[in-house]
Amino acid sequence: MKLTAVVVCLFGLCMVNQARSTVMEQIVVTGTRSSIDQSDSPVSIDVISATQLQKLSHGTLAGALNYIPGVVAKRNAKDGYTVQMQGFDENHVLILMDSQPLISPTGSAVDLDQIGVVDIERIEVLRGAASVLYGSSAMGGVINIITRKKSENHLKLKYQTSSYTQNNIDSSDIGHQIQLDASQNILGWRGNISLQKIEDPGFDYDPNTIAQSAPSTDKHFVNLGLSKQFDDAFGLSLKARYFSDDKQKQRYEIPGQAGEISYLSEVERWQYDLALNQGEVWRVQGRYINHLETSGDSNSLRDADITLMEIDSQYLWNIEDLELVSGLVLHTDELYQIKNATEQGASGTVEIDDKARDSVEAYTQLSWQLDEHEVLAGIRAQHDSEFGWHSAARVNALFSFSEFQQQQWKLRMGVGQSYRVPTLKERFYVFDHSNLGYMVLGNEELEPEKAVSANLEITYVKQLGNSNRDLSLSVNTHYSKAEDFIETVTDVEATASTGLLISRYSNVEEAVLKGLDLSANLAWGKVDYQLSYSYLHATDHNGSHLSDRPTHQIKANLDWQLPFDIHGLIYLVYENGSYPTAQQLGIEKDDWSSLNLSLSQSFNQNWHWVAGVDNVFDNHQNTDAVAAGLLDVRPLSSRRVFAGISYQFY
Amino acid sequence: MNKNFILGLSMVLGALMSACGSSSSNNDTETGVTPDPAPVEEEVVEGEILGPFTTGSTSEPKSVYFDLETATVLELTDEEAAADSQWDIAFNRTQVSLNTHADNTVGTYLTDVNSDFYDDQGNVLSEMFLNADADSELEDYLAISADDAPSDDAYSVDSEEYVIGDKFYNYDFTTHVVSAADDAYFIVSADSAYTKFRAKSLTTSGRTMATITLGIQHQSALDGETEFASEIDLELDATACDTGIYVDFDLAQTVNQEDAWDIWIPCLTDEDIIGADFQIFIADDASALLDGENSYVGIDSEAAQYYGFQSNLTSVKAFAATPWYQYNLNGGHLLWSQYGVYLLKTSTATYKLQITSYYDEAGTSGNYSFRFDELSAE
Repeated sequence: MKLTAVVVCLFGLCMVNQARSTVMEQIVVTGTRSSIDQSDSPVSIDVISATQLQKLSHGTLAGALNYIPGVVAKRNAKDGYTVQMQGFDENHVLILMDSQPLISPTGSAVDLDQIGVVDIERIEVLRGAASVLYGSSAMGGVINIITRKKSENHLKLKYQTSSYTQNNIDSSDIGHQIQLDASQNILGWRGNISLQKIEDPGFDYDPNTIAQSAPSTDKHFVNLGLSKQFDDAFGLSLKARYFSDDKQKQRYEIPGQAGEISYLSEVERWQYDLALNQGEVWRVQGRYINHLETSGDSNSLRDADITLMEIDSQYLWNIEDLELVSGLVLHTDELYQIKNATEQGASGTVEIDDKARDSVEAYTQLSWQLDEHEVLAGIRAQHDSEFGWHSAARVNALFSFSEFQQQQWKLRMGVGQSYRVPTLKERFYVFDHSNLGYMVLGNEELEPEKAVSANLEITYVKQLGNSNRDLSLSVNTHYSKAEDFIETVTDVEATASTGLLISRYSNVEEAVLKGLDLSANLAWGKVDYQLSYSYLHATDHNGSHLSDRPTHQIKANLDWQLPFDIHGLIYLVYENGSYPTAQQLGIEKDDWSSLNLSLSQSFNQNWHWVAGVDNVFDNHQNTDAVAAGLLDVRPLSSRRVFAGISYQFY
Repeated sequence: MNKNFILGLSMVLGALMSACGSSSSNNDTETGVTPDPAPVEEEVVEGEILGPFTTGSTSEPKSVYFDLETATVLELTDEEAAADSQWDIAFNRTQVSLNTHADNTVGTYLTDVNSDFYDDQGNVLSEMFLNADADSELEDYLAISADDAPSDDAYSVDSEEYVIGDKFYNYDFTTHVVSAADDAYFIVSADSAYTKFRAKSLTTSGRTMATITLGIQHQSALDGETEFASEIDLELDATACDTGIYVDFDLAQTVNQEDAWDIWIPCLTDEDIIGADFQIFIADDASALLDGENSYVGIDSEAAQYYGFQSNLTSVKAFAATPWYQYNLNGGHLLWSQYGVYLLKTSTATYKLQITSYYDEAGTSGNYSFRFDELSAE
């Protein structure tokens, strides 16, 4: 769909307006590490609520974040989902859960399809750098998944089914999703349990080929929580999260043989969280995650054992107009990876030999409230067992201008540093395919990637006429200059001499990423509109455009309360202007759009249903063109119809 | 013995055994007993596929030594294989070797079968590779006969060459004048140092070298040097050559055989003329490469293992000039056979061979399957 058509469509929608305001002030924590109203946050934060998540997701966060303006959702080579923000790729967007990091099975990127939505209270999205508060990888933005802390006693059961319609592998294939969510207070202790099972049969564009487009998956999520709030505001929380995922996808016939090679992935992950706090004065959080993964093509499987341990402590001082938050973080990453032997009795090939990285990080951020204005200044220092000392500093400011005639202007600005430390894979990887002509090697001399960035955002909020009509406009500009980007680079000399393609991770890239985000929200009675446009100009040190990033992105959402308390949601995503990589031979398609519809209704306090269609026009990648080396930005996606029903017991 | 011979022999033996028992058979016939069915002759199936034969993994490769005459894999260590004349062809991951034993020097010749898997510019036509399989290419295989065998000199054999050897001089076949190849640069890695050198000039005496002047650029990695130093000359006088001329690049001078030398030049006596041979060798613990373009200003010691330094004597595989596969044609990092038909000329016969797969049924790489038969007249 062309840009003009999208705009016309949006204005068309705007003509159909009913009246209902849904403006609700959200509490956010990501920008300051303390609770604050979303509109008062000195750092711009977008929020997806639990209710919206249930409408947008199919059990995991995959795809749901596409709802947020400026966020670019991507499907990676392992059929996982990641996001880009402000031109930074998935390795430079930090995904947190309750302000602590998660396992990154691929590079520095968390797979959003491995995060269930059942016990999520909200998702906070911070666009721009935030390394001062969160350290490595927070260069393009931070997505902080806030799990549920408080809830009434409840027991809820949900079932949802789905079909990929004409792209079904077998015409009778349907997907299943079952959720059980319960919370109970007993003797002052709150217990939570949520169970979720997702069976997805996968899809295939061309049944005449062996290659399957998307894998069949079988995911299980188990979340257990126990917490108590004591009289003196002292709180204790224990959580255990279990996740497993089995994927399978046929890929190739075996040359010269009758069999086939499939992509397989088996993941099992345990996460344990312990949190102690006294109100917001102090907090100590501990996290341990162990991620076991066997994945790869069936003739070339790898085992990975990834461990993350972190203790994050924080203290908050309030002295009149000053608020000081300081913290100390102890962090350890461990990684062991082996390519399995293909013969019985033979040993595998160790690709990363039980390597570890430890860091001690300290941060402090001072907030100074000047009437309605606020200035933030923070610094973070990190001592890493591998890289020594690093630091980042940043200043943010919020200026709230005259509030009269029910309108308000806010100016947010920030400038500072951010960084990403090399992963263990980037440092120690040995991928030896010399018999096939290439090798990929880690580099122990890698330095952290660094960036200096600046953001400027102006927002305008006006209440139109009465209390249920609101208009919100925002303009956000961003500029980042990044250096020492880590890429796999062909070692020209070694390649020329050996006849092998020798690639190694190196600090080589410099990049300038700048752009503009425009957003408009209109709450008009029973209809909420959201329209956003993002522009990106991202170039490397040669002035060449960075690949795989859309230059233009438009998102439009329409949330409409229909008669009989039916909610309708329409959201549209349009992107264009991506550039091919140096390895790609041309462009098959550099723009795409997706239209998603859903309806939901609560019959009463117990029964609720939802139904809809994702990717209505079934816009998807041409896998033949991609295999032929062409750029096709359309996602590996399919039209999907779905319907679900839930019952709340109490 | 080849497959046909073995089967023929068994049929002859079977016939003899049958003949030995003929009296009783005759008696049976005479007594009206129904005779056993006549021995079924085992049909020789041309184009039958053998394998898969595993050549190990990337980290633990192993060689499969195959004897075409007996159609068997010989259990040989690499050391045993080096002195063995029975095997004909060997496989080790993607590398295919031919026996170079004096009693069985095997040559190979690639027939024109499936040359249309490449276009006129030599570019790979992926679809041709991807759509071919052992069944579809059987007909082409069967069509190859003795009529397609070229003259003996068309066969290529595996060979060995010295990494430097005689590459430092030029020989004019018309004037028979030998001169230094002063644009041929060599880099020697030895004793944590790298030395680029070339022969700048040389003089001859009879069929020996009388003098040779080397241009030497030294880089000591131990001293933290990252580039070669300026070139200095080292003139070697071979007129009093005894056991050899030994050069230590670090000292930029000749040393004794017992010292830590880097290269050496053998002595040669030609009708009472003492001089040096036209060969340069490197030490056992050294390695070298030819920097034909004089492109390296220094060696990155941390990446030295990837420059392609080679030992004194290197092997040149005949199959490498006519590879049997293409790699990664559909993004799967797989090897796809061209199903080319190679002729293999051993000391006793000429065979045709078609490699059909590099994988076993589970897709494990390094598992060769192939078909071969002795060439027969059409």
